[in-house]
Amino acid sequence: MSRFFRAKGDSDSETESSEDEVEDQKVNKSAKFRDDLDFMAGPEDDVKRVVRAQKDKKFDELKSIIKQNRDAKSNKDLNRLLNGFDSLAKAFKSSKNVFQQQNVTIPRFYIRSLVEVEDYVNNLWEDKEAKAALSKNNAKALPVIRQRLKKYVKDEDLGKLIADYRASPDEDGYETPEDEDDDDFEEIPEAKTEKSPGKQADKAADSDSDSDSDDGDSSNWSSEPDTNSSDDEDSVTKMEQLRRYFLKKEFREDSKDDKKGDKRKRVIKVKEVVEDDDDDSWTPVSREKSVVHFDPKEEVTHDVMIKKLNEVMSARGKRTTDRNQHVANLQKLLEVSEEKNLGLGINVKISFCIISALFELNAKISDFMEYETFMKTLQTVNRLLDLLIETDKVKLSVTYAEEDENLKDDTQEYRIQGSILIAVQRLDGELAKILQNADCHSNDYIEKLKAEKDMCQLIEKAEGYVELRGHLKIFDEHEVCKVYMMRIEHTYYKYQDQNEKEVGKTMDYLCNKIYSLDKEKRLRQRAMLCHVYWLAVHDQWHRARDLLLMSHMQAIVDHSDVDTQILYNRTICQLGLCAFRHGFIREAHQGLSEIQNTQRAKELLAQAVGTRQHEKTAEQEKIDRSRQVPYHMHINVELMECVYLICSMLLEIPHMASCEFEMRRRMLSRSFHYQLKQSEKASLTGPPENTREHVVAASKAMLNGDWKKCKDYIVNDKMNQKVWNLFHNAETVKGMVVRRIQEESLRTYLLTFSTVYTTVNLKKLADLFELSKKDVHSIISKMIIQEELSATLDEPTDCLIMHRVEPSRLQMLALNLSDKLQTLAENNEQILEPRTGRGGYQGPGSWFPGRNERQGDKQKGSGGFQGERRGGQGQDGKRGNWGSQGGQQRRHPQKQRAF
Amino acid sequence: MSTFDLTQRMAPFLDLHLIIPLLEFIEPRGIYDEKSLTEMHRQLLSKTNMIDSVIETYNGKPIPAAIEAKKKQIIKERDELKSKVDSVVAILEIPEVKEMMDNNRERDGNVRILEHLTQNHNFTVDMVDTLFKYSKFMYECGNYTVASVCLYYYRNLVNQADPNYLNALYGKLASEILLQEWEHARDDLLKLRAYIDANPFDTEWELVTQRAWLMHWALFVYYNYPKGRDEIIEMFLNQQPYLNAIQVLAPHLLRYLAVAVVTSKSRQKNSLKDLVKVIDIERHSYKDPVTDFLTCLYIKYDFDEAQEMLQKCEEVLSNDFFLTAVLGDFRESARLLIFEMFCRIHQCITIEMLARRLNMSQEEAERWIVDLIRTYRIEGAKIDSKLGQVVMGVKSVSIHEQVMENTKRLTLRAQQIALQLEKSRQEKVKVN
Repeated sequence: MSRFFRAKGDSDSETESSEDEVEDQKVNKSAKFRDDLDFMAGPEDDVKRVVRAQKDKKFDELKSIIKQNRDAKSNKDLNRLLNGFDSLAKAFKSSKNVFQQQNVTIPRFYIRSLVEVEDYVNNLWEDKEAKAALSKNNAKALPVIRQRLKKYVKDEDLGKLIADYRASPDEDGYETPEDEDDDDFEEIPEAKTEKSPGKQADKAADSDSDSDSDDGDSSNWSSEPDTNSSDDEDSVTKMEQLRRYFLKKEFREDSKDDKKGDKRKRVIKVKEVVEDDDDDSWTPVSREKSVVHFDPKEEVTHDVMIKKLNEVMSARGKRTTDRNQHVANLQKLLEVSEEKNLGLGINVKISFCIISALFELNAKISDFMEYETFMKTLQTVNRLLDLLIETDKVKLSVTYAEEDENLKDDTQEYRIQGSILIAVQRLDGELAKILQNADCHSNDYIEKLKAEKDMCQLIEKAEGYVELRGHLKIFDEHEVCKVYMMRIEHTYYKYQDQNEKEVGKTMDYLCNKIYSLDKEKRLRQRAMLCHVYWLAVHDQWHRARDLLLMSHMQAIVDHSDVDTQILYNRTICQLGLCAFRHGFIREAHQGLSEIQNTQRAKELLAQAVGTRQHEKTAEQEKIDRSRQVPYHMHINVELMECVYLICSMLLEIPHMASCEFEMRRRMLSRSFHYQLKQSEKASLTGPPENTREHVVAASKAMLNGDWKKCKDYIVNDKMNQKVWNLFHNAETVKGMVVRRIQEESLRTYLLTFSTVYTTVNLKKLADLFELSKKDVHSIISKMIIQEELSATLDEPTDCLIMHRVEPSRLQMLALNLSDKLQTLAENNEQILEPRTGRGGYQGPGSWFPGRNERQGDKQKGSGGFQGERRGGQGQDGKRGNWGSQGGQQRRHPQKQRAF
Repeated sequence: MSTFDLTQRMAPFLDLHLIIPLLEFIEPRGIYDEKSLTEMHRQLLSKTNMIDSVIETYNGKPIPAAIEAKKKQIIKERDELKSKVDSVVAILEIPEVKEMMDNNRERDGNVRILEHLTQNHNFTVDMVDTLFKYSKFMYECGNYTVASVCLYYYRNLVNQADPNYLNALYGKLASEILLQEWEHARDDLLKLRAYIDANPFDTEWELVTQRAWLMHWALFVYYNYPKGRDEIIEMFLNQQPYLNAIQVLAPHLLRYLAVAVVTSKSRQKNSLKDLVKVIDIERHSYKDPVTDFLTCLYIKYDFDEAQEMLQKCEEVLSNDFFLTAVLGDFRESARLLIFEMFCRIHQCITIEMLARRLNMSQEEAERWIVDLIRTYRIEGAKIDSKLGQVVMGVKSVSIHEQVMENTKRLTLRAQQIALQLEKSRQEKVKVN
């Protein structure tokens, strides 16, 4: 059943379109209807455009309702069908006038829809089983609709038409599956415009070699006009005929499509043939191909060649031009030129044209190149570059105008317009696209990644070329920067184990070049970020940090383009990891929390397209996809998360222990607390599975002062595999972490149990935590000085004397109250007092000036009670106005940071 | 021993003539190879016009002919310049003109005087250049008095936008430094600093470089000027741009800053924290015993090592041109810092250990502590001489004290806010 209906439905849309056209024709038929078929085939597009009358509107209205009905049918929603039917009848009634005015008969598609509905209802009526399966509502609606339909047909006197239709229902022939159908609709206008001028040109210019299928078409048609003219009066039959006629046309369209496909295939063959350079089997195709043929009598000179080239090139970019063919033509030209020894100038020119043609094989910029084409282009560019490096007689530059080109005079240097550097750049872009679109877990990706190496070599070569010819002033400064930038971008994320120094020098050199050359700052920023990234990957923490601080990137990044923001995010993460490897826990935490606290780490790093985002338009999504970082450049997010959690643990656990008595704890890391809470909620805690659970379990152990257990959770085989082995200096990092765990556990222990002890022997503490006495002493001293621990040391006995008293409940409340009053006062002061601007370097220590402070604000906001929170936020907003970078203002763009 | 000597690191930031005293200071210390040092010294001098000093370095050995020839040439040149400049100086020394110059204000851009001179005294613009050349020449010859006088005139005649203006300022400062006229030098330093802070330079980099230079030159002034050390703190530490310049270009200046902070009486409390922070950040790019001492004391809380560092500091300081004079001061202050730290952490300390830590004999230490307790009134510290211990009074803060402490200032703060609000409201009313 459904098949039947679907088939009908499809045919319906076909008729619609044809009907439409018929109607159009009819409007201006008096003059044009009987024109020859060329007219019918060609400019029907135009006619359609001329008449955009009410009628069309009505048609559209009707059609949309019909479509709804059809949906309702396929959903078996009879209620909807009923409503749809009513509105259809209504709509038709109102359109009747219009039709009469314009002398239009009842459209066939309308009749057919009626027939469809009727059939459907009748079928359903008779099919007892299906009827029984209907829902209550639908069962009620069924007789109603059946009744109404009958009545309607009778009332409107449509019986005859329906009978007519039943007599000659639409043929199955032109039923096409729905989706294909849609495609056709999209393609037809394009195909038509593409084809028709060409065809006309064909007929006008050389009528000899038009392809056979076209002829076949026209012969098919030739009978039609007669029928049309003879049955002029009977509009219904005429329509029928016309419909047939268009039906044919549909066929024709199909066959044409086929032909197109054929042609494509053949062209591919042609390409092969051209490469092989013999075998005539492909002759039927190429009208264009003939362009390349030189008159055998004529001697091929520069002028002839240039003329020919211009001829070929004039076809470039036209719709009619087959792009593959275009490339083949050019290649042929190059061969001839090389054969006849026409000089380097022309060779370079043609090669350059080939390269552009290869790039243009894809019509859409968002499409990625075929890998094979890419490799071919790469080779061509490579060859051209070699040629240019070899000889200094050829100058290729964008600064030349087309008129100044010198292609033939070999006494002077050849001047050619164009830029090899841009070609290299574009190639680089294509590679990125190819990698983005490849499946990153397949071998295919690895295969394709090999091209990256070639690309690097090419870029290096291009750089060499730039430096070799830099004095000739043939390069645009921006181009040159781009070449350096490309090289940086292919280097910065790669970890060099052996020749680190060498690459480091290259990196310095390249970046310095850009710093000095680039005028518009964007590349400079990017180069700087890449530089920082590289340094961070190679464990040069201090240099990386200083460079980042000096660049003021954190202040301006919100105003820069998305790609730079992504790079910034990547850099910050890498810097955070670097800080961790060096044991700078606080800095690592700062760096990583930027990204980790958002829950969208992957998106922010452009390693995945966001899913939970509000609906994006298809376009946005496309853009997002085009920004994705290729897989081989990804930063390991799981590792990052783990590092972040470990950092949070080391910072947060002692902190939690110290503010045990405060009502509301101030959080350093939200996501860490979230994880902790989650695990507390769990009714059953099994042994940890993933890295996250390991860290959480370790945190709990630490909170109890059990450093050994904590250590075991952090450093074990599972974690080795997932985390530690990913560091190139795993052992030192592990050592560092264990050491930090010992220290922080000691601190936590002291803070937690300070009320239990009056004196503690230092030696015992040292034994307990396997630290040297000196270290214990220093840790305790620090805590005393910073007033975390109210205790003093007794030197002669080597004891720690605790002074901590457990506060009574009242005291605790009083303390809390006073704390809050204080924050309230502070907030008020901040609201009132405009802070002095805080642009620029924020002084020593804060390696995240703006952002860091902002985080502080957040904590304040969540730390206070309800009424105060508002205050905190208001203050944020204010700051946005005052400072060069304030809370609210900054937070907003940060949300968009993703893309 | 030469590891902690900064002469080499400082030299790029100093004028040739300013390096000479540094070299002369270092020579007898025997830190460097004597021969290479003399050679260095000679080369340095030969770049200047101080031929006589060059000849001195040969110490009676035969003198190369080239130098003799150079000497003659220089004398000739000097005579030439002098003959030209005499008339200029004559004009400028007319009492009326002098008075005008003394009353001159920066703001006028020196245009008025120049106008006055050209109108009344046949003064030409060329003369100004001659004056500059002459003063430069005299400076090269080591005649700083003349140079400083001439540059004083020059500075008053020339517009600030003149390319030589900055040079003149530097020249004047150097002359005053070499003449050891600290009062004048300080004035010049301030002028120069004001000029640099106005940022007349093209690039950020140049500005930073100039600041680094200025700070090096300032060392001469501030370590010889009674209140100079506080001014060092003010300039080096509290002025963010200068601190940045230190971090970027000359982290070795941290030593001087650290000594200044440690020895300063009035500014120490507030500055110490900032200083320690900076030292911590720059630890990877610069450290010496002085900064390490502070690191050990305030970051690592490692008293033994601090003690070692203190000992090393003595050596370093005594070999430093600028710091030898403050060695005693530094030692005393550093000890005090250590002791203070001890008092804060400990409840009970044996004198014997203290003495060891402070590098003193036990008796000396006891006396020292008594002095300390008396002069600084360290709260609750008592000496138990029978057990040989210092006992601190425990000052555990009870909770209600804590609450009181926290809330004490709240009323005042609230009042201030109210006042401020009132004020801003009134202002608004006025505007409307």
